[in-house]
Amino acid sequence: MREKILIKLGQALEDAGVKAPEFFTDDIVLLQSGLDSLGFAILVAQLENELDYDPFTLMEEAVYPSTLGEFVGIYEKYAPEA
Amino acid sequence: MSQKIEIVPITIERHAQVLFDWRRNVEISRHMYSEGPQSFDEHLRWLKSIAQDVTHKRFAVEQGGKPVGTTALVNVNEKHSRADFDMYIGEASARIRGAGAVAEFLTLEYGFHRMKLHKISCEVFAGNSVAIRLHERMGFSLEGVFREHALFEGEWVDVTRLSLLSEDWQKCREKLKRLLAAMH
Repeated sequence: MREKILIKLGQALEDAGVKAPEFFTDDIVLLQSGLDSLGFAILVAQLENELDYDPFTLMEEAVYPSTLGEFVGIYEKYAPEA
Repeated sequence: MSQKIEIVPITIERHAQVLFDWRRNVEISRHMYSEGPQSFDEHLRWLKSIAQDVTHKRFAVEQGGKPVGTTALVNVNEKHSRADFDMYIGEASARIRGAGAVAEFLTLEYGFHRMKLHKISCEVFAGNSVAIRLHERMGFSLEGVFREHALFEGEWVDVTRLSLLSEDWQKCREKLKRLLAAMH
């Protein structure tokens, strides 16, 4: 899960013309990552294609993941049971 | 729960308070020319004035039925068929979902298809590279930089101006529509 998200995030940053960090750490602040709004939109859509669910549509109350760690955590929390 | 993003007409009852809060939020106003209203009454007068203003078309951005930001076509010039684009997303959770890109797409569609505009421009503080890159990815081209064009917190800042022509929008809108299809 985490690996898939990081790969897509790296691609989104590259598409947006932003140099990805050498290592992704959980404390990276998403809104300071350099990714623009279109990048976030594409990232969430591509993750839905890859994982077959969008956790943000499953939430009763919208939750704001401020860091990469929280972003990954939301995907893990809402993952369908195997 | 649907989290679709849409742009809707502004109503006093539904949007006045949240717009006031955003306009007073320094994290939002730091990217704007103005520093926001001094009072709620002043804000209400502004909302009522733009409702009567044919050169100002403003929308609320809603995600899943909840207001998350605002977008507008301002300085609409009928004779020259052009306008300036203006937007902010007040809710951080919506920024993470890409609401800004969807709202920008929907507003540009409205401007070029409903209002039949020929040209839409926007201005961004030169230091806001993420916003400039977003506009470029939405099809805007750089027109130039206004040097020391705005005074912000005692410092002169450059302002970048970009524009998008109707013919350029026709070339890139299908690709953007596909990319953003799931979200609006």
